[in-house]
Amino acid sequence: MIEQLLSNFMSSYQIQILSFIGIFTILAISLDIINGYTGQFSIGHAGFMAVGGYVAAYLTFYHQVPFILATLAGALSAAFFGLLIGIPTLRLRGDYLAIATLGFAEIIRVVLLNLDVVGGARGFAGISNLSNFDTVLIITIISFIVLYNFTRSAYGRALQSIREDEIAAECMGVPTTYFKVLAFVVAAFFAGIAGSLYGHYLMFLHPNDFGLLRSIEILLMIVLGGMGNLWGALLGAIVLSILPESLRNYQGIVYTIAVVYLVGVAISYQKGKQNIARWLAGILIAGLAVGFILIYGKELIIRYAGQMRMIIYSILLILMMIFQPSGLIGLARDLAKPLKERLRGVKA
Amino acid sequence: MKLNFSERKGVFILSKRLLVLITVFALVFSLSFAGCAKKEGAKEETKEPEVIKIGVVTPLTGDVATFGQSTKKAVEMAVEEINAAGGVLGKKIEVVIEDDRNDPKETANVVRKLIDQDKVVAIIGSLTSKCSLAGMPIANAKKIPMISNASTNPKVTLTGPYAFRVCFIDDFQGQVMAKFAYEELGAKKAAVLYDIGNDYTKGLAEYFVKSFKELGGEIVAEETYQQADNDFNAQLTSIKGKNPDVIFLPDYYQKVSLIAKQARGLGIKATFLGGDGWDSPELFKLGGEAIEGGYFSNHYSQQDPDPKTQEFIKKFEEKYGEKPDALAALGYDAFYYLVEGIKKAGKVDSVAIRDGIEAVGKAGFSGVTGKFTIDENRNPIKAAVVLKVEGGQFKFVKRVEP
Repeated sequence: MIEQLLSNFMSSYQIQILSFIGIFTILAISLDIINGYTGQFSIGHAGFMAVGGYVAAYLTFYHQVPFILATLAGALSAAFFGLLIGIPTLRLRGDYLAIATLGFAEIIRVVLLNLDVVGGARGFAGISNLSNFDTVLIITIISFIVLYNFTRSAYGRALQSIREDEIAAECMGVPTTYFKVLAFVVAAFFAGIAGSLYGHYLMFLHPNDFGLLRSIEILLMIVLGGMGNLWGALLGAIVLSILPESLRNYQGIVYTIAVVYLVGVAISYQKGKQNIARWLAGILIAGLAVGFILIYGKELIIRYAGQMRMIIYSILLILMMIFQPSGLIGLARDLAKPLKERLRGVKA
Repeated sequence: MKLNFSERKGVFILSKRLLVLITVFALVFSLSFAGCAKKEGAKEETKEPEVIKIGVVTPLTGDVATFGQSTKKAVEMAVEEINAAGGVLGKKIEVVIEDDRNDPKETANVVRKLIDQDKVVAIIGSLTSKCSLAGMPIANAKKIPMISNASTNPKVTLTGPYAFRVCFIDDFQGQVMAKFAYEELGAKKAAVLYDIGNDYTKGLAEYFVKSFKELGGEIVAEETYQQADNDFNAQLTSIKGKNPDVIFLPDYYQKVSLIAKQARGLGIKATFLGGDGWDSPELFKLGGEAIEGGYFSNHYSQQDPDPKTQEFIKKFEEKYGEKPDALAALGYDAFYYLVEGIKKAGKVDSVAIRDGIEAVGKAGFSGVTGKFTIDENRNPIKAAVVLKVEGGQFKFVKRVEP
């Protein structure tokens, strides 16, 4: 219904990107429970996604199980794997845990590569198209509300206490192992849901699609968006899903650079208020330089847009990490600060 | 790290301020991408298109970027030729080339973009089977014909009537090499060593084993490895004990040259056999002496005396200063196959073009990788060439008909 409404003024291409944003939002916010809220470092999220996706697709493909039940089964199996990996590995900390989760995701991938019943190395083709924009939207909203409330419940505060200081948390009577496993189980559950949505949307699953790169992509979303904040994860998922697509053509590149430039201007304004003249000169020169490149390099950019896309994408990520390590949500907060002050001033 | 709402508890309350900010952010970004979309779409509103728009989706970046680049070059060359000769049906051809990074998710996005925004009438691509399997269901649903140049997985054309390809499938390559080893080389005992995590090498190995057994040969060893492996001594030692006449190594050139070196180091004398993954000048550089005397099957040979093939190689070398690889030849064929289909259709309508392509395929299409006709699943039935590695060159041995 919402999809039909949107299709009046959006192409199915844009609706598809919105759907992927939804799916990756679920992945990002669930990973944020582990990495952002509990302070554990997991880089195996694609493994849980794969379990959910394959189990759900198996059920709908071979047993014609209704989509919702299959998704639930996929999510529960992913949660079970979360438990399975959580119990033995959560004695590990930091780097060791990261390597263990990575290893776990690799095991899942390699097992799937050798399971001929789900296509093995040739991939699982012919999955019915059971999820569309509407299902993705509804499930994303439900997941967000559930996880949002979870992070703000007593459970969520217990997770945060582990992140801030594990020993102190234990002294205060928080059973840290229990809560760490819980974080893994909850996050895996939602990653499983996302996996099922992904498989039934794309109608195809391939084990190599759930390798390290996919995990890193999800991790990137929460790092870019701002860790330990679900809104940040949401922002990260939106930006990182749209960015590679918007960089596909010249206009998109111009728009993206313009947005980045304007945001840069706004940040530098706040940081360089003492010397307005110098600041103005600086942004003017930067603006002219960017404009010059875009106008005189137009032919070149159009010609090599395909290759340049990922380069620009990486440069933007690097710039972001250098100048805004607190993520997009930190950026939003910084930019809102003067506005907030002014609003407060008016009220007073 | 400080939490945003740490002072509030429990309930789900949206902070108004934050909501506004997020909306603004989302708007700016969606604008940046909706804005460019509208412009592109508006251009193509007219009923009678001035040009024929054709989409190309291929990995220009990522792990198989070199294959994608070859495809792109060949397609661009084909377009130039066709437009210089006056176009098709009196109309010029315009191609929109998009990158999919060898990521199925991106292929799905690109296929939708090409169809919805660029309004293409047909698509060439994608290159790898996993990407084609994600993109072709969409093309089928939208009734846009899609021709892959190198997806060898048998499932690809089973996605629907709008899915085509110009390469032979994995099964066939395995059969060709089995037949060649048994009949031409007189091999009775064969061993296979392949990457278990790669559908391509696995498919080839499976069909080699099947065909070789059917012919009456014996498979003495079937060993596997993982993509990240670089040490094959364990598998090779086991193979050496079985003393095979030939060893089938259906992987890409990097792995094959490593395996060949280690095998010769262990004193294995058997002849190496392989598939089209061997096709790269790097094979001699990396493999050196070890790979000498090996045979592999390929889509085409640069020494094929067919004038059509030779003309293509000459033109490609003049334009880009390098010899075209098999992917370039297949990309070139895919494009001409499509163009023939459009000519047959007689109008720029994707449903008619699909029927046109099928008709051309059924009647027989002759390209730079040889002649082919298509079967009921739109898979080409075409000859493979067998090449021998000799003195730093690929020597054309023979053409094996199906």
